[in-house]
Amino acid sequence: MKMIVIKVLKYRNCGSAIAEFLVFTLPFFTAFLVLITAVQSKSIAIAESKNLARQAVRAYVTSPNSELASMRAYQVVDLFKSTLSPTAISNRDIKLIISCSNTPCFSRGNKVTATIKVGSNQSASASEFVDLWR
Amino acid sequence: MRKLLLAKNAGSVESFLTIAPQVFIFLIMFQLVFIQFNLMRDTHIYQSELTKNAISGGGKNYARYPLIGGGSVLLLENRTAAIKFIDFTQPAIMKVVSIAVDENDSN
Repeated sequence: MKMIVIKVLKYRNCGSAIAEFLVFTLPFFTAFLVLITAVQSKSIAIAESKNLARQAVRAYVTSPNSELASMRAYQVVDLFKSTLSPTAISNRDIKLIISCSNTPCFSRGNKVTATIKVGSNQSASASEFVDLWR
Repeated sequence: MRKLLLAKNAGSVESFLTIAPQVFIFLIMFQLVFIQFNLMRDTHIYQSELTKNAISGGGKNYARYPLIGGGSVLLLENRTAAIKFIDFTQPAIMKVVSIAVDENDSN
């Protein structure tokens, strides 16, 4: 048995360039394709979430009063969501979280941060200050 | 080296049959990369244009929605056909969504 194995291992065989090319390229192409798609979807999610956080916090800090501030920020997110298909919304759920450095949130010079969470593994934040002369 | 380059070598049908699908897959993949880069480029270009419009006005391709308490939200939904190398007569539509807050009315 041992001798047979050694014989098989020692057996010289002409390789086929085509077969080797196929063996190398098919898994490589498949992996590359998956990688490209993943990178693209991640970069879109990053761009979307960063911009949405920036716009939501802008809507918040430019509110005429504290009662409307949160509603304005959520309105921006809802408007953006309205452009997405139901499948896209269910696949990448968008959530907005508003946090402030001090309470009450909507007070002069206060730092407001809007965090947008897209799906389970992507989040982006943007911060702005409430106008001191408000 | 010259000898090697000038040497005549007969090709085989089998090699063509294996290489042809490989090249096809490679082209499809390259096309996907190209479409994705275009999508990313358009996303940033349209967003910068919309933000500029929110600050200085102008431009008519976007929809304007009133914001509670004053101001408005500019929403741009752009659908364009992607440029392709291999055409299956099915248009690949790219959708780019841009959003910007125009606070002119509130301040």
